[in-house]
Amino acid sequence: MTGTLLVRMGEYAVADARDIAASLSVRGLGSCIALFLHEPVRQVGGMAHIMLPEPAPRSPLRSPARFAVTAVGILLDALERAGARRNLVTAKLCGGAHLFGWKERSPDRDTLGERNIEATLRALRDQSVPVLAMDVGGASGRSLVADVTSGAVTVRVYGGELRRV
Amino acid sequence: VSNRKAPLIDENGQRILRAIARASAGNVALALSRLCGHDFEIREAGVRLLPLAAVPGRFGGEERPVSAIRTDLTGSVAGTLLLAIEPPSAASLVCRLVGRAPDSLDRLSPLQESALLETGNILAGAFCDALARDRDDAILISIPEIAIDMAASILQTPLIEQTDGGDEAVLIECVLAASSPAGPLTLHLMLIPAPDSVRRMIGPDALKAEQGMGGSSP
Repeated sequence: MTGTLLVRMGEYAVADARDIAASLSVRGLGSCIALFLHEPVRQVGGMAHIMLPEPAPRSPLRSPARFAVTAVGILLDALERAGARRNLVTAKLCGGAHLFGWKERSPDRDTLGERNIEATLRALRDQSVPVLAMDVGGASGRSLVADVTSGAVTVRVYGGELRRV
Repeated sequence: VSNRKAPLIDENGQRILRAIARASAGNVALALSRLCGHDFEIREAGVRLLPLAAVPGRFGGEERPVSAIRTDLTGSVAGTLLLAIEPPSAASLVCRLVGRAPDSLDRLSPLQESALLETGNILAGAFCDALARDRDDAILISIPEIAIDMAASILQTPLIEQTDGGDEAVLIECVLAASSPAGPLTLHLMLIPAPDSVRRMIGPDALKAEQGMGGSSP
């Protein structure tokens, strides 16, 4: 029997196909990013629920999974500790939505969701992790489940639409 | 160290915030009664310090559908004010205000959406009246915006913006309810104040040196 490990705001988790919880999930994603890293041979995966591009100036760095600039590194380290080979790791990311309509009022200013997407992609590039798929942006919330065996991510957009990423 | 961390509030500070919550709830109940033409009961009026992940529970859970009207406050008190209404109550409110319930809350007509936005605007003004009392500087209220989505998705951006990705948020809340001919009506107002504004509301003497204020304090 397999279960799902829920990854809340600012947290990260790693699971492999032999675990009781062989899938990782996020509920009610808005401007945050759910970053899923997967290693297909060892069948291990990790999810970070990223809240912001980087920590505020002069803030003590706690919970590095909260920030795009630190989440990718700690997730890669955790996958390696679980037996993953770093050169086989790929990424999928979801989220970065903008639910309230301010974008139309200030089109030149990036939303928090857009900044999170940009910063996460930059951090993945810096660590040479290829991005296989994305389901990002838009104006609707998402819930998702990532299967660490297959690497498939199923996204349910608010309103019921299901997408396989 | 960032000064946006949730402030640590002593008993006196909690008492001040509870008084603000009660006064705001009274103003909001009065405004709603005038708007809808019947009395509203104040079900809750209080203050809470909660971990961010626990806040969607206040709106019924992470994936619970919610109609939310957001206004941002600037001036002597800064923060985000959310008016959250569950779909049956939102339909009932729209019916009460424009005479016809929406076929679906995901496809509101411009008139129906405008009625909800105007409700948010009026209630934000009523809520802020109590906040602005005894303050020299005005509180400015932004143009309201609406979203209908999962509770956690709606709360994510305001919580992150007001806490700068911190651990916990101070919430000043009220819940009001009434029965109307169009069905039950329950409205939940939640102010997520910026930490500096909490400090201004309670004054420096009511900040604790080390301990938080605990889980909840309705």
